[in-house]
Amino acid sequence: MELHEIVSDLIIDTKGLAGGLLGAPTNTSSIALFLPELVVCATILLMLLVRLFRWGRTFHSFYVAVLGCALALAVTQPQQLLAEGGVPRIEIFTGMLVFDGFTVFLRTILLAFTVLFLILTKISGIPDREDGGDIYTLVLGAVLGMCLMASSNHLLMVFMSIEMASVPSYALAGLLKGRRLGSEAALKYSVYGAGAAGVMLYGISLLAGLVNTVHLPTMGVELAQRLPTMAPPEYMVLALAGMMVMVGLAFKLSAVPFHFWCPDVFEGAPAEVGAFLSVASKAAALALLVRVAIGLSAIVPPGLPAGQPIDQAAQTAARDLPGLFAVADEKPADNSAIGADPRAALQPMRSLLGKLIAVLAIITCTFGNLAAYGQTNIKRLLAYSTIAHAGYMMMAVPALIALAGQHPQQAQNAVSGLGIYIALYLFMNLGAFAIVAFFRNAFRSEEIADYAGLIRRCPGMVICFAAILFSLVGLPPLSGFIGKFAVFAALMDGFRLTGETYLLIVLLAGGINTAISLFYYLRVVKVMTMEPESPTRVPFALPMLSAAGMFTIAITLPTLLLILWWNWINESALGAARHLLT
Amino acid sequence: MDTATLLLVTILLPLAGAVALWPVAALGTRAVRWTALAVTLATLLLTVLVIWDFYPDHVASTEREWTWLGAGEQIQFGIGLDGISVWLFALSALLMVTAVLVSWEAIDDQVPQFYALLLLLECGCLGVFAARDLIMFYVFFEFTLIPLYFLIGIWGSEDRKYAASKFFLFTLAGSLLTFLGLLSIVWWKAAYVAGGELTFSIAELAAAVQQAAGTPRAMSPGFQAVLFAALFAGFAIKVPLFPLHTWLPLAHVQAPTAGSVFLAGILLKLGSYGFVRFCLPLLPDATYLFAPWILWIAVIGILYGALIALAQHDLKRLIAYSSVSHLGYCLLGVFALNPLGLQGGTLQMVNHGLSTGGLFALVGMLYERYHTRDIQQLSGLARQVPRLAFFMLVFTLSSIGLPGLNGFVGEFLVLLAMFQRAWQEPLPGWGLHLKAISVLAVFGVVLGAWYMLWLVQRVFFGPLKHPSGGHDGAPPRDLAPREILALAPLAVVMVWIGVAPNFFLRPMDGPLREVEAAVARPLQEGLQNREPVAEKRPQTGLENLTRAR
Repeated sequence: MELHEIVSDLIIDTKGLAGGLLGAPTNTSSIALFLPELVVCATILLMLLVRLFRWGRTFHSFYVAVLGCALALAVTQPQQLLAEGGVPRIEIFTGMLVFDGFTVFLRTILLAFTVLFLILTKISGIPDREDGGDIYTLVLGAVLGMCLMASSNHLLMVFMSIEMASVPSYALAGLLKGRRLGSEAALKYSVYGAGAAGVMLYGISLLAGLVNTVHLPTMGVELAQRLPTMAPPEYMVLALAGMMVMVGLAFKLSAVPFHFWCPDVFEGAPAEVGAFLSVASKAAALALLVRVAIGLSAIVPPGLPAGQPIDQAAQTAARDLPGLFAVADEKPADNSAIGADPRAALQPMRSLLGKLIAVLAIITCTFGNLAAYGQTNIKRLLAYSTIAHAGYMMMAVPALIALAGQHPQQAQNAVSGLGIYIALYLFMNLGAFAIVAFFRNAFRSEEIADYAGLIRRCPGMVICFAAILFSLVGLPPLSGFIGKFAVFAALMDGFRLTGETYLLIVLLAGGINTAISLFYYLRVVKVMTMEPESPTRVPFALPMLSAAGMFTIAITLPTLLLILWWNWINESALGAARHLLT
Repeated sequence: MDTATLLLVTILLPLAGAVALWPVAALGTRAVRWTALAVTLATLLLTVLVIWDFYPDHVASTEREWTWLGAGEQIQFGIGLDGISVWLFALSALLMVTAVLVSWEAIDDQVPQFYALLLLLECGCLGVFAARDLIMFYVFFEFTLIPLYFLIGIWGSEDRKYAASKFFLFTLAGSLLTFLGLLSIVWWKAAYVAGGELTFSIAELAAAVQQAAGTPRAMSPGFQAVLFAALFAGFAIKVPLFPLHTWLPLAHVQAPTAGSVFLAGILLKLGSYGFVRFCLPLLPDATYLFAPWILWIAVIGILYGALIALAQHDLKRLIAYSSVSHLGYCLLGVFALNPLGLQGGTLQMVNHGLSTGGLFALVGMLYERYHTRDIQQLSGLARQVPRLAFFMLVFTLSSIGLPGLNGFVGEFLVLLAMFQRAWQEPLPGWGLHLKAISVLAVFGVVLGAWYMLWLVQRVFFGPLKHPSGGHDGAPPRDLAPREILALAPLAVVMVWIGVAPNFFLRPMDGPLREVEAAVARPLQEGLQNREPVAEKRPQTGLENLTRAR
């Protein structure tokens, strides 16, 4: 291929066929599909630049940040998830990223969460006007990284996006300057993060050496060819590489045994940062896990190349677009090595990966729930609850992997179950951390014991908090039930169609864990509603008719009411998962 | 408005009332109490209207499905009444009026929250009995836990926090297993009967089980047994059956009066109702297989509860143990697996709700007057509070099954069914067991009469004795009109059931026959299998007698 051809391909990929070099980008070009991230980038730059001028320092950076995020959310166009036929799967930037329904769904969740999170920080006043610019820059930088995580299509992008999301998070963990706990949290977080990233990078390089590609969809094809004839040492290396990549992901998911940073960071950082790490970071990490799991265990039809009109792109899709970094661009003409069914060839990989993630999910969930039981600090308790919920959400992935072989449709349903859980989890956990932050502002304590008798002081807040905690248990009719139901249904479906017993074990573990988790959530509710009020507590007022109260109500209402009408979430999640495997 | 819509309004009215209490709270506690009473009375009125349209068996007129949540069209907001649920539904509406009235003066702390939780509880209970969809059933089933947890935990007596947590954890742990079991049935149906489509409609699932029975598509006995164990875990804790009952006396003793009334009256029935609604029609083979074991557990519960009740000197604790005993009869009837038993068991659920709910209300009133529940400190109270004593006696007689009152009808049907079953037992080797169970169950009736009458005798008759003359030295006043209003409807219904049981049994007939038909097949197969075995055995005279008949 000549240089000018490559350049011309690149131009088409980046901004589309029409209009030549200077014309407006077409709507299937990489630039157009990457617009939300670009808006976030622009917001970051604007926030930094505006402070160079004197008038720019007179207002809170919050307004720039929230407007930027809202604009990014608007250009994400979440309504296309519900469109007929779903969102087409387009590989942008020469296959480094992928744009599909799942990308749109996760972007929507991440950006919507960021808007809510920014409003929360404004109300709770954690960054003052001085700090605002720095902190919001870090937050938006991390969100940018998380959006990239959700759309990664290439192991290099996987690594880069994880780092991009992590580095600002390290700084956020140490947000409270001069506090020992905060500094300790930041240090622990970054040391752990660096270690995990190193191991993951090692795994990626092993994988790249083994299968000659790091482009995720190509990897599936390559693996399907190699696996049946793979020598045992190679197989060992493959398993090792898979596990090492998992280490990096498990760190982001705070899965056991890579969870140690989580409680310390949550305790040391302000509650708002806890909300950010527990929702946005987890959502992105789960999306990434789904992407990697699909890449390693399934053969996905190639996505459409970027920059061409959809119908034309569909024709050229057959002609495999050579990715610049995708090494394996020559597929063998005969599939004899793969056998009659290339999907069946990946069965050992699926079995290995499925069991690995299943075990990880069970341990994470059980450990999180058991460890939460002994906590006296509400943020540590919520940290362990976050770990446990990461476990519940990971449970959908073994179902996805097991189903990916023969039942792509049902496998996509498993992903949509995970999507529902993530969407509902956003409201629950943001609400929980927001209330913790408001309580901290009101009476300067984050100890559960100091919550005694709050029902008499601020009944509205306590009712909202109790609803959120019960929802985290998964009790109907609160929305947490829907999420658990969706994930458990996916597992049940997986067991029914594939007969894999380990899915049933995961399901049982999930059920038992739900019962265990009631213990510690209930304890918080009990302290708030049934213990007598401490006479020494400073008097405070936390009326519902304040910004904090209204925010709490707004964030709790979905938890209470979604049971009546959650079809739209279901439809969106189905739309998100539609072209992942078919 | 058609009946189905009316039913929906009936279920949602308490919920709306609970929300409405928030603004009403600003007007003071009097307004809150009256609003709560008005909402419960309106709910009761609507319930009567629904039953008026329904009676005797216009199931179709109350059934309606609204498109609800997601997962395509499978999960529906399906509601409807049938003969199994209609009286329990009515009982929920009736007992809630009692519960509101007995809390009138007893609760003076955080009143708006208290009544809001009571109304939420009512909404949950009405929803459970009206649910026609599995998910909806489970949602309401679990939803009842949250209000009751707070009712016990906030307004209970000294050990309330422990009791509330124990109650919550026990029942939640069980019901999660139940949910997984129920889901497994849904998936089995999707996999083997209808070719991949999920349905959560209870009626369709039951029909599918019937349709598949005897074909290779039917659930294997082992699978059924596992599912039965899962369902059993939740329902048996809720009932509660003998070894799993420990949360009950604690919760009852610690709960406020209204909580006890509703816990005993309605929430325990969710377990036995679950058995009739799910275990029997959906898992007939396993039910048939496990029935003798459950009958044993039930009869042990009857005797155990009765004997423990005899030894109690705390009034609430005594009645709580009598609940353990009486619910054994419900289970005995249900698992006798014949039409008589099912009718008796279902009716006994209503009876127990009336009499025990009433008794708890009375104990609450007694406690308000004398500030003790200790039987040893009380005696001869009939002189001071004759009207209270009158109601106590009526409810006691109803509870021990005096002919002419409701308890007799239920217990008689149950025992009759049990004897019938025992002498027709098809499972070889179980005949003797069933006979023993039947006979032991009769002893339970005697024990029941003993501890209840003894209680009345000790507390209300004999020389007058009470701790230091009530609260302010003056003899406590007798029942106020409000309290009579709370109790009288229960007494009226008791007499009504006692003298005209057919009015209540008639609607049950159809749906219970369907349930019985579901379990009849394994029963018939068992009978056929028995024949060769029976020929070899030397036959007793009684067996010959039944065979000849």
